[in-house]
Amino acid sequence: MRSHRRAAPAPTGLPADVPGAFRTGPLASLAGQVEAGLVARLATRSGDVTLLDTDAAPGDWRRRVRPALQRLGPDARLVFNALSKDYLDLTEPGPAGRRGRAALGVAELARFATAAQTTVEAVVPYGALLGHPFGGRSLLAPLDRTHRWRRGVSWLARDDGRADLAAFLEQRVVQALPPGVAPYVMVVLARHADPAGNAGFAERHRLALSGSGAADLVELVRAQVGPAGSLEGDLDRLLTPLKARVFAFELLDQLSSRWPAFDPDGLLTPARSGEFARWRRAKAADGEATRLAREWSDGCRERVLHATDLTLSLDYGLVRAILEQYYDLYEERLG
Amino acid sequence: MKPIAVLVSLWAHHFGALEVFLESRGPVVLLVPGSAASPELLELAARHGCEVVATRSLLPPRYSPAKRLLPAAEALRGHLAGWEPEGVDPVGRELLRRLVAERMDAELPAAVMVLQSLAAARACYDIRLYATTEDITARGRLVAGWAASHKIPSLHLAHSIALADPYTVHARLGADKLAVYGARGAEGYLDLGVAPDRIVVTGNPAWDGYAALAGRRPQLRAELDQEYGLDPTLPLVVFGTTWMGHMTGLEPPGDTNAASLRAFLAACEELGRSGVRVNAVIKDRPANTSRGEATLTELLAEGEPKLQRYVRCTAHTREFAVAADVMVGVDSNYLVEAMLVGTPVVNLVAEGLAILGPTFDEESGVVEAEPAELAGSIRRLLEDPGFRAARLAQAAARIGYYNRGGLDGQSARRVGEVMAAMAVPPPESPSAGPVRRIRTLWGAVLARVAR
Repeated sequence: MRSHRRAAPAPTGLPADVPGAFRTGPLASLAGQVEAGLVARLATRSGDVTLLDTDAAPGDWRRRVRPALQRLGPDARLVFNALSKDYLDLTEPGPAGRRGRAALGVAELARFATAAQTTVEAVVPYGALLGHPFGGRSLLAPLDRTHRWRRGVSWLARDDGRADLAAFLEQRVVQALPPGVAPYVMVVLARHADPAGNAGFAERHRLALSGSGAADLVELVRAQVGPAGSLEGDLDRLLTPLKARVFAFELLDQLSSRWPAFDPDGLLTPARSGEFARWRRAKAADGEATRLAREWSDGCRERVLHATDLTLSLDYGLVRAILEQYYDLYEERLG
Repeated sequence: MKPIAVLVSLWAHHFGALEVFLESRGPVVLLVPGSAASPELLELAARHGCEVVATRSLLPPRYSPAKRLLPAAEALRGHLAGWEPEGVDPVGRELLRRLVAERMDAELPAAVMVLQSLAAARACYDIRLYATTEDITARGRLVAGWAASHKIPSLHLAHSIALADPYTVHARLGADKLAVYGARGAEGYLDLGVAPDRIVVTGNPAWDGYAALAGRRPQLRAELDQEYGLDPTLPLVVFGTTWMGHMTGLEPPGDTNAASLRAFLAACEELGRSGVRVNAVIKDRPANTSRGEATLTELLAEGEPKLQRYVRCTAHTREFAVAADVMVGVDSNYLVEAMLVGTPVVNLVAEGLAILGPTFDEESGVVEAEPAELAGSIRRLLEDPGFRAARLAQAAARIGYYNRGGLDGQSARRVGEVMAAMAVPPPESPSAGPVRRIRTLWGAVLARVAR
């Protein structure tokens, strides 16, 4: 479904709006790869049935799921995907419209499962790197609305380093988090009744989501990752290429500015976190130097001559002087 | 009625746009902010029958900015002494105040002179447009501010494609409008939130001349072989050097010019060890005459004796872009020039500088290489015809995204037309009836020409 993509490029020759790029190009391939991986991991029994809607905005999940459940064998499970209502609630707060009603919330899923005499076995989020299906404020916003992000993502099609990193983040990090973090969920329903189990599932999810202070997110990821240290080790290897590090930095920097309590250092080795901290400080210095150079003369009426702010002529040299001397950024240190 | 004038601060290689503007408008006075016009501008003006006036010449010969400077400087100094930047400790505060004071000493006298000379120019001329290649540097920014407060339309013709997102002082648009070469050049500004209707996509007038060179690869190569003593039997690999100006904290410490050059030399030596001999040309900037040679000599003296022969040059920029078999650069507009004329390019993703990227996208046919991958990337472009052809096809399909019209040679015309369309009198001109009618007529003629 392409109906919610933004309009075609303006006739000015300017680049098209970025949000229309949801689930297109390399991101569509990533989504497909992640879905195939999830199906392979979740639909393991012989009678299991998979219902995949690979549209950017899958239709109403109930309509797809009800008839499939009728045909499901006694020991089999139904694996299907849907838009995540928890995600839409987080990123597009307000009354749910038609798209919201087509999406799947965990609490509602639990009630549905009980009424249908089935059991919720898993709800796995995926697609966090894709952005927002309806141009809302995704957890990567505003980064994923930038042309810069589009350029970076385009390399997933050619650069294995960045593609492997993106797949790792989806498979090892996003899938370990509550369904609110990503636009899609992959759901497993088993063909036997367990009302108490369903209620418990919904309750655990509610707690996870309400507690998703960002620090907890890192904990959640680590808790699902088996032997301690392997997450950092695997991630560290993927961050060996410089191009992948820049890509990862963009993402983590974005996440920590969205959730100030999110501390990506929990996922990084000291060398990587040192480099990322240096880049963050440098970006902060740019902002500060620009602000300082502009603000010092605020309120001084005499700076205006012939209706023009004389101090405009200082900005260029002053920003350089502040970066060089106040932040002392460019001298090479020995040892 | 005052003579009509435009205020021009364009680089000489953008003068093609000014030519088009003057052809459509007929002669106007060309005002140059400052004390002198370049020989190129004088020559152009002579051809078009235009008078050139350096604004400084409108001030009395014995002019001194002191009378207006002293009270302003004194007030600013007093203000500065009370500046308490938030979150800065006393030592830092003193340092910052000293840095501001130093910049005031360095810039304010010239700034006062520029503004007074502009005021004198405005008293003498009906200034219709400010066209500039620089709206960020000390004078460029000041003149753009002056034009804005006097409702004089201003056009910033980008001096390059902003392949790295504009940072610090660059992260704003001082002029009313920005002319970019292709959609790519708008991206950084759009990401910053600059309104799309302030950006116009024109192509780069300085690249119009490539159309005439693009088909002459064999000849140009032979001429360069002769000029620089290159081996005609070996491929030509050109490296465009890179520079940073301490304008962003993301610039790494140390000598970025030398670091990226070292990576190029290492890659060429690696090629040499694997039996691939090349003509390795380091295309440096003329501004780097003294230091560039020394840097190369120092780097060549490091380690083992060199297997390849290296040539450093600062001229024949275009010819090398056309004749190269592979062009290597660091986030550089020179790579785009090579793409324009069908030369395959490698963008060196350099330690430290990479964080300013990604400068290119995958669709553009650019090969991205970290230092350790550089030799392999050059070799593959030289030896794998399928790979080379595929990258060139990608670049050819995408070139209009970097430079509107590709090699159509019409960028100067497009910029000139934008200038003409902007340089019309404001609609609610307070002039009396007949004058207004003449101006309106002129505006209508211009609008037709610009269409």
